Amino acid sequence: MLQIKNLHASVDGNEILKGVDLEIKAGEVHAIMGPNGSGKSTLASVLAGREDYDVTEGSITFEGQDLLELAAEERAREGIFLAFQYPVEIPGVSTVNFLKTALNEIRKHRGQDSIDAIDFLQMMRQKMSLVEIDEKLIKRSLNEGFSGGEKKRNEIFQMAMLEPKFAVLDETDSGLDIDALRIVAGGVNKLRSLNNSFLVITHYQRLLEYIVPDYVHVLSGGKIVKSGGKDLALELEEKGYDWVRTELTADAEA
Amino acid sequence: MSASAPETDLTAKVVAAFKQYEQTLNGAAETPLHAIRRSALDQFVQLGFPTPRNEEWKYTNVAPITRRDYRLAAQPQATDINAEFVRSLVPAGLDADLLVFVDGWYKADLSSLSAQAGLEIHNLGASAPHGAQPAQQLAADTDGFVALNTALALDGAIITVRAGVELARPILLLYISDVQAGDAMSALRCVVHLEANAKAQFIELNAARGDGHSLQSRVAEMRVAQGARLDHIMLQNQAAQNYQHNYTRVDQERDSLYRNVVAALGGGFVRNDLSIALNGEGAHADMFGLSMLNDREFVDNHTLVDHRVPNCTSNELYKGIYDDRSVGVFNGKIIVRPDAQKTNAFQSNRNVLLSDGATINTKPQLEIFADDVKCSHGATSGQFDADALFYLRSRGLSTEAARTILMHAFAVEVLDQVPVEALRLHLEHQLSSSTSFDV
Repeated sequence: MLQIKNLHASVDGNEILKGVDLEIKAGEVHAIMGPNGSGKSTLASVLAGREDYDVTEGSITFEGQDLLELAAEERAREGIFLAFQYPVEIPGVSTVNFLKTALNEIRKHRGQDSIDAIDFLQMMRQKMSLVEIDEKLIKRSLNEGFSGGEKKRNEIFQMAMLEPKFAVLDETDSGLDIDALRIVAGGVNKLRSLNNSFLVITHYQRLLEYIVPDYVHVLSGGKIVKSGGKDLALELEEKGYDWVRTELTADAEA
Repeated sequence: MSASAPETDLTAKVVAAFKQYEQTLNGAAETPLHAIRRSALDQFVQLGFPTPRNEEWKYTNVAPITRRDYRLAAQPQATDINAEFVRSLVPAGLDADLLVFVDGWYKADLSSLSAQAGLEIHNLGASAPHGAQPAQQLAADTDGFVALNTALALDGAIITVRAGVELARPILLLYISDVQAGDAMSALRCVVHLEANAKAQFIELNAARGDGHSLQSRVAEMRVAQGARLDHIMLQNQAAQNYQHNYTRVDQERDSLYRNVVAALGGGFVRNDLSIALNGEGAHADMFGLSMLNDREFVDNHTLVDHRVPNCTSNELYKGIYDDRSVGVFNGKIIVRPDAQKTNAFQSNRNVLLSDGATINTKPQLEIFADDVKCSHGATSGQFDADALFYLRSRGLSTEAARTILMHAFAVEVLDQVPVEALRLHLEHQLSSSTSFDV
C-alpha cells in the first residue's frame, strides 16, 4: 500500500529525516517509536503533505502513485488521514458541517454523489458510538474549547467518518488519561480491517498495549534504526531509548 | 473662503444646490433651523472636503470621490424605484418597520410602518417638531463632511422611543441612491432619542439602483437616556462605484447601553465616524466592526469614545480581512477625562491580509487623564494561521474552501454580536455565498 524509500526531508535547511525506508501493506499496523526530536512528527507531516517540509531525496509511493506529487487535500481524497498531535481549534464551524464538507469532497473525487442527509446522520450516529463521542460536542465549533482528550477523540471520530485507507496517528496518546486512551484505542481497533493500514507514532509503549501493532520501528536521528515485532516496544520500554543507541554504537564498533 | 480650502466642482455644486433650496423657502429663511444650515454651509465652504493634511483623514483620500459630476437635488426627484426593488434589498426573514429614503428623501409609499406604541417617527423634511432639529454640537468646525450634511440634509428621520418602551420590531432605515440615469449625491440626517429605559434596535442599510456613482452622506445624532438600550447595526455591502460617509454621534446617560455593529462587506469608499460620549455613570458602549474587502475597496472606521464621568465601560473590537488591493483604516481614540475614575476601556483591532497588495492602517490613540482606570488596546495584522489551513486541507478541503472556513472563523466573533437573528444569518450567507460551504 505504502512504500517509503530513502526519504530525506528538511525544514528551514535542517535535515530531519535522513533516509527513511518503510513498507506498509494493506491490513497492517506499524508503530514508530523514538525519542524526542528523532523525526517522528516530521514523518507524519511529510506523509500528510505539509509544505513546510522539503523532501530533498527519496520517494513515497501510495498504491502505485507518487504521493509527493499530490497536495495535502489530494492525498486526503486518495485516502490518507493524519490524526494530529495538536488538533487546531476552528471557531464558527461545527465538526458536523465540516465533516459533511470533507466527506463530500472525498466522494466527489471518487465520482460519487454528495451524501444524502439521512445517510449522513445514520453514519454519524454509528461512528459516534465507536469513539463514545457526545453529539453535543460535534455540534460545537470544531475543537474550540475542547479538552485534550476531547480533541483526540474528535480526531478518531473524523477518521471513522472519512474511512481512510491509510491513517497516521501522531502521538494520539499524548495528554490522554487511561480511560480516554482506552476509548481512543478501542475506536481504532474497531476500524482495523484487511483493507486499511495504520502508522501509529508514539513516544511510549503504553498505547501499543491497546493498539497492538504488527511491526514496531525505532526512529532515531532521522533514520529507522531498529525494526521488530510488537515485543520490541516492551523491550524499549524496559531498557529505554539509550539501549538502542548503545546497541547501535556497539554494532558500529564491532 | 480661506486660502487652504481645496476647490472642487463639487464644492461649487453644493453651494449652488443650497442657493436653489433657499429660493424655495419663501420667507421661511428666517427660521432657526435655516440659520444653522446657512452657517454650516459657510463652514463647509471654509473647510472644504478634508485632505490628508487633516490628522483624522491622514490615510483617507477623498479627492477621487469628490471629482464626479453628481446630481444633487434640493428637492425630491421622481423615481421609478418600486416596492419590489425595495423588497429585494431587505434581508430575508427580517421583520422590521421600514423607512425608505431615495437620494436622501423620505418615500412614504415605499416605507412600511406598523405603528408600534411608544414609537414616534417624523421625517425631517415634512414635520420637524420643535427641538428636533440638527444639533449644533457636532464637530462641524473640523470636518467638512459634517458641515456639508448639516447644510444639505433637507430630509431624514426623527425617531423617538418613549420612556420604558421596548420596541417589538427593529427599525430598518434603507438609504437608496438612484444612479440609473447618472451619478448622484445625497445627504440625510437622523435624530434618534431613546427615552429612559427604552429599548430599540436600529438597522441601516446603504444601497444603490443602477451603475452610476453614488455618494451618500449620513449624519446621525443619537441620545440614549438613563437605563435605555440601543442596538445599532450598519450594513454596508456596496459596489466599487458607491461611496458613503457616515458620522454617528452618540450621547449616553446613566446606566445606558449602546451597541454599534458595522459590517462593511464592500464599497468603493466607506468612511464611518463613530463618536460616543459617556455622560452618565454606569453607561456602557460596545463597538464591533467587520470589514471584508477585495479588489480596490476602501473602508475607514474611526471611533472616538469619550469617558467623561466615573464608572463607565467601553469595549471595541474591529476585525478586517483584506484581499487584492483593498485598503482598511482603523483609528480608535479613547479619552478618559480627569473625573472619569474607575473607567474600563478596551480596544482591539485585528486584521488578516490575504494579498501583498492589501493594506491596513491602524492607529490606537489613548488619552488618559485619570489615574484609577483600566485601559487596554491592541492591534494585529497577519495571514491566516498556516496550521489551521493545513489541518482543514488534510481532511480533503480545497485551499479555497479552507480559506472560506477560516474567514468565517475569524468573522464569527463579530457576527455573534449582531443581536438580530435574521441579520446574522443574512451576513453569514453573504460570507459563505462564494463557496458551497455550509456553516
